[in-house]
Amino acid sequence: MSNDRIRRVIVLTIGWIIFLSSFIPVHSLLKGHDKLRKKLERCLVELICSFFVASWTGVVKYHGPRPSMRPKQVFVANHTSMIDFIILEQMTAFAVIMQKHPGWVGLLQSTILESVGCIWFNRSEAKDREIVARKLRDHVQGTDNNPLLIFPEGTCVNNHYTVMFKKGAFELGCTVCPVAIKYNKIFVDAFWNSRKQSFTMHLLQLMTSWAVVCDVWYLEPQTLRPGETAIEFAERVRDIISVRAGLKKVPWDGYLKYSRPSPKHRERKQQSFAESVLRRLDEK
Amino acid sequence: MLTQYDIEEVQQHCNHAFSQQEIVSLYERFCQLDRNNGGFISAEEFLSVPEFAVNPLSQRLLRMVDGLNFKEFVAFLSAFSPHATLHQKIEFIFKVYDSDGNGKVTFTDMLDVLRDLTGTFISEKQREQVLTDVLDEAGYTKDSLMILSDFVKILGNSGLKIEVEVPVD
Repeated sequence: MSNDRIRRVIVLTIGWIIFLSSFIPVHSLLKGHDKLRKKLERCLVELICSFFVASWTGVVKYHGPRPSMRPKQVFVANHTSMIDFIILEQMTAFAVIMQKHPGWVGLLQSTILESVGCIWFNRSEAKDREIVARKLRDHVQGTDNNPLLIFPEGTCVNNHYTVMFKKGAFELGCTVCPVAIKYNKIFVDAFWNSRKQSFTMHLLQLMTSWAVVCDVWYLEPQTLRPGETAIEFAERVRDIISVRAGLKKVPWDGYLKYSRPSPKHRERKQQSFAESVLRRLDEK
Repeated sequence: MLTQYDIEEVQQHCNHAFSQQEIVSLYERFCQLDRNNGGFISAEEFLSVPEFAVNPLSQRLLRMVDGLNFKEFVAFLSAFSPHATLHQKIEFIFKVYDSDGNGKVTFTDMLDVLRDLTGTFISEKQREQVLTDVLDEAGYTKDSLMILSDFVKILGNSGLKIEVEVPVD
């Protein structure tokens, strides 16, 4: 193994040792002193994320004012990989809404991330959206909760485009703070193609690449304009993020990565063709 | 990985319909779609492209394109190149209609395509009426057996445009 890789593994191992040796005592001993415990856990999560980023030789340039903890505010960002979350988390301990993963990642999610506040969703469940919408609303009402970070695309995208934003984050009656993330592809392609490789392989690939270089822009908070629907609001914010990060907007639904389009799309095409044929028939 | 020799062979096979850069881009896309690395794109893998799945002619196209290796895939797509002649494009359309590949398109073949295109939004009777009228206008009857030159005669002056731009990095 080259020196470089050994260094990264050591950095990550040291990070984990420090983290676990501090987190476990803090979590168990300070059970009664919630405010202090939460504050320390937040710092520790930010710390382990910094170690993660260092282990990939992450060079992250943050632009814009650092997010503040205010109630009735959510953060939305474009999504390329799970590492987006780690990169943002090293600056501010966000609460996040995520798909529960199997394996060691799932274990990490349920133990450590629970401390910063996390909401789980399940793409495959039909009724899931309503349950999640309610959990989101409850979270943003609380004054003590960490600021919520949402990836409205609903799935990882290749950092060249943005796909349609799901409107859930935009109908909570909160200020929406857009965050744009753009990875520099020269160093590594940070896109996690979850259909082609597992998260573990993806992390290993990042750790053996030159560096992860990216820009993060914290953009001006937006509120729902009078007469604007949640969908229009979502599109407006997607526009802001896409322009800032130099991404192309496409009108596709991110969930099409996982399922076929419904037959009604094909039927609509058949219907419009049938109508034009019938029109010609009538004209005779 | 494609070698220079591979690219030239593919180019030869599709009659230089695509440039070498375009063939490289097409290969990248081919490999992306061929998830299980079988050397060909299966019907399932094609249907994972949303625009393809919502196309009413998808089943017909699948029959033509299922199991093609990369060289054959590029040859199949050559009708869509801006360098392809009108004749080549009409030949492609003919092949879509001629589902049994016997070089002849019957009234029933055309009715089948029209059914795919219109679904349940128009009755079978209306479909037959439309087709009879169209054939009549072009000087054919219900019993005519169309061959490629008939299609060329009918579509030759139509200003047909089926072109696709292959994105090159």
